[in-house]
Amino acid sequence: MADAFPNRPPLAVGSIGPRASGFSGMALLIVSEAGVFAYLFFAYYYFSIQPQYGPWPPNGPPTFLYSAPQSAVMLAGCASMWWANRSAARGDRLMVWLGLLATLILALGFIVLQFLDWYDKPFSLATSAYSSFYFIITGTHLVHVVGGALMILAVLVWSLFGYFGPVRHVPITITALYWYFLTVAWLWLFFTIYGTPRLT
Amino acid sequence: MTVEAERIPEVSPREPALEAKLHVMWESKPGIRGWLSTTDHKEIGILYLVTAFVFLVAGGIQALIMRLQLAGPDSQVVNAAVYNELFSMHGTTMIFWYAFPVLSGFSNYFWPLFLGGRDMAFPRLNAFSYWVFLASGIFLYCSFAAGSVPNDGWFNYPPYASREFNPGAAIDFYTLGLIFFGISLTAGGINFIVTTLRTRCPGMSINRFPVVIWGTLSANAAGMLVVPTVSVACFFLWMDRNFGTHFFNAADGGQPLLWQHLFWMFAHPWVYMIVLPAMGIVSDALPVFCRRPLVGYTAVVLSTVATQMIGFGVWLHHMFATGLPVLGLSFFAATSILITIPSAVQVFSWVATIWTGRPVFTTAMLFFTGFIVLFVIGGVSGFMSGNVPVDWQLEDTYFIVAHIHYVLIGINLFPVIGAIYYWFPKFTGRMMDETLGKVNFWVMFAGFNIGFFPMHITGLMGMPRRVYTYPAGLGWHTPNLITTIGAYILAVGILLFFINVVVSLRRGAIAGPNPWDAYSLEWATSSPPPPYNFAVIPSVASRHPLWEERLQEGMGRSVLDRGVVLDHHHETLGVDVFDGVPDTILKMPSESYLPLLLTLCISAGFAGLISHIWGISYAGLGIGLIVTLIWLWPRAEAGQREVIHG
Repeated sequence: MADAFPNRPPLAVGSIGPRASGFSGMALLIVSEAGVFAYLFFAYYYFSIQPQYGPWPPNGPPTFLYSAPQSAVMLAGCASMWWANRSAARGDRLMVWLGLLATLILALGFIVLQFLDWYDKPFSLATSAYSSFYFIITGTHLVHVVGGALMILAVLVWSLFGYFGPVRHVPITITALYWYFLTVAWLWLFFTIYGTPRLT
Repeated sequence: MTVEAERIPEVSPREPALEAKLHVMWESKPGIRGWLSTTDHKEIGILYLVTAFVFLVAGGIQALIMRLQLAGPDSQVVNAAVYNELFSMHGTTMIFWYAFPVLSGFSNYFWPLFLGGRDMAFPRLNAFSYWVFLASGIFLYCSFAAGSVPNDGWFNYPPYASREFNPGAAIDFYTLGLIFFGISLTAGGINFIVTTLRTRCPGMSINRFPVVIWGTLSANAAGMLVVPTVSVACFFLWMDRNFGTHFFNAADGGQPLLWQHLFWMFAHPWVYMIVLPAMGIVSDALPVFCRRPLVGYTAVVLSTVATQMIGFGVWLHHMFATGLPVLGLSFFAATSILITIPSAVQVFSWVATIWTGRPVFTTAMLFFTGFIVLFVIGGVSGFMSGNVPVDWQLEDTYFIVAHIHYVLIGINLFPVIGAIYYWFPKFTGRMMDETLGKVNFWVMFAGFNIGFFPMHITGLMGMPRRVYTYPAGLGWHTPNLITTIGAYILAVGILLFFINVVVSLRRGAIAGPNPWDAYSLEWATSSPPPPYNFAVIPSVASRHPLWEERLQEGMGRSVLDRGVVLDHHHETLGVDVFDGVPDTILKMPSESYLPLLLTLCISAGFAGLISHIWGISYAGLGIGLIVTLIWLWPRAEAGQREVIHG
């Protein structure tokens, strides 16, 4: 009665690699969140090209003191996240744990650096239009990094439970994808907030 | 239960034993628990449709009160403050909570049926997008209970909307409500796009999609890109109003005009998002009643996508009167006029389909042809106001109100009601009454034109929009009275539609699987379709699977009675993007309360934000994170965990 699916190799079953629906779903979520950052930066540039009350930013370009290390931390997190994902594909569980743990620590480091950058400012959220932009844009990114750190924590726990192996580890891949996006968004932010005021 | 790494799926004919097995496997729980935990795209589609119509009625009642107020000069039915609330809630309700969700309702119900799958790519996310849509609408309408109803129009310009001039929580209901609603749009958009990319039947290549798939896909892809704009704008305004930031208040260096940019960068693409799926419905259903395939499928599809693309670059035509540079005005006037070309391509395609076909004027067909007429009128008035000097004359007059209603009622409501007449047999297994249907159409069509055509005249006579009353002696009385009469006739027409739905649900003739002798895949299932949609996954070989024998189209033939059997729990096929060649067997989740639970957590979050009781927000966030973690927890039976075979 029943016969085999004709002339085709067997089909993968379940969530495997980029064929998992969740991978496409994350890619689209990233498109939407990239939109959030694009519109934040659009609004920022809308102000910066037509400053009405004095210089923009009012206190001169923001410092690289914390933001440059922040960039380094995000990029290092990409490397450790990439390593974790690659080790998952190879079935090297110890390296998956170490890679995820390293990325988690780097994420926490980024969060600390961001708070240091905030405390270093002579202005607060409601001081001026510039200060509103500064805190809302960096704060939006920070919230996303916290979200990314929670995702890393979840996949780390799942890895420790032994859920993942060489075939099925797409949650790690998805988390890596998100972390790469956060890094691109940060570099974009870094150029906009910390870079462009120096271009004039 | 474990899942093998790979499998050669069985192929079998469709047979009763298999159907019975799948029915038990896919059926929802009975009663209210079934509705609260459902992940069946058809049930979610019905929920979307019913809820959207509830919002249509709410917005409609607000409109009828306004028309009563405007029927004569110096009227005192409502005062100015209430009138502001009415037009704000009317516009916001109709444009956001009715017009797009109603189309998502059709798309949800039919997407897997069109594409030959068993469900959406993310069934639980699908339920989540519905619950958030409902919860955000309830949130918005809580403003009535709180006594602070949004009152700055559906586009909510500062400085009117800033705290200085509009204290209280009214505008916060608007800004938070739209951010809340945006979550539903984003979740729904991701689901529609991934479903189209991944969960189709073999042979469903992109050139065989129904046009409504292209319309909905364009709309949701645009939504991914533009919903963040309005969320950002609303967030800025909420921060300005509640935490003293300075994005929009000019006194402290803010830029009120930035709101207009951000809002219209969203809202103009949005206007196309709420019409393109409806236009797609017409492109698919009109040919059924013309007894021939659509003329120029490729041109219509390319025009659909092009309209949405150009739609990103026309937002400034809402701001022609704000003192922008001439270069900007010229560019955006040019794009606004350019967009008539893809629209006209579609109109000519429909006309050619009717012209060269053998049209059968059923009620659905009447609504579709009526839609073409209204689309042309609305398109011409849009073309007129796309010209900068004309726009300067017409800006903020009733001419614009006439235009927006011709395009939104004409291109959304008329196709939607036509689509209900067309698909009602598929939803319920019963036909709608054709005699009452034709009366329904003519009353609506007459009422609509009597109501809204004179608005062009009142606009040209100089009556501004959004005034709560007007003095006698300006010559505005007669056209306003005619408009009010027309609005009430339109309301009677819509009432007749609801009566027809209720009566036909009980007494309509039994429909059978394909009462219109239509061509597309959804008509290959029973009416209503079984919970699993297709017992065996069909293979399609053309754009018109059920008309192939008559059309002699292409080389191969679609196979509907024999195909891949997926009966190891909930499963559907994953295919590659372009050609529809299967590459995966996807495991699908069963029914779940998690989407509803997460929605309740988010609702608590927003309740805390509007009331400034931050503890509620933190609780919602914390519990919401736990629910999300449970939701995403890798499950062995879904093929998400590695299992060591030994």
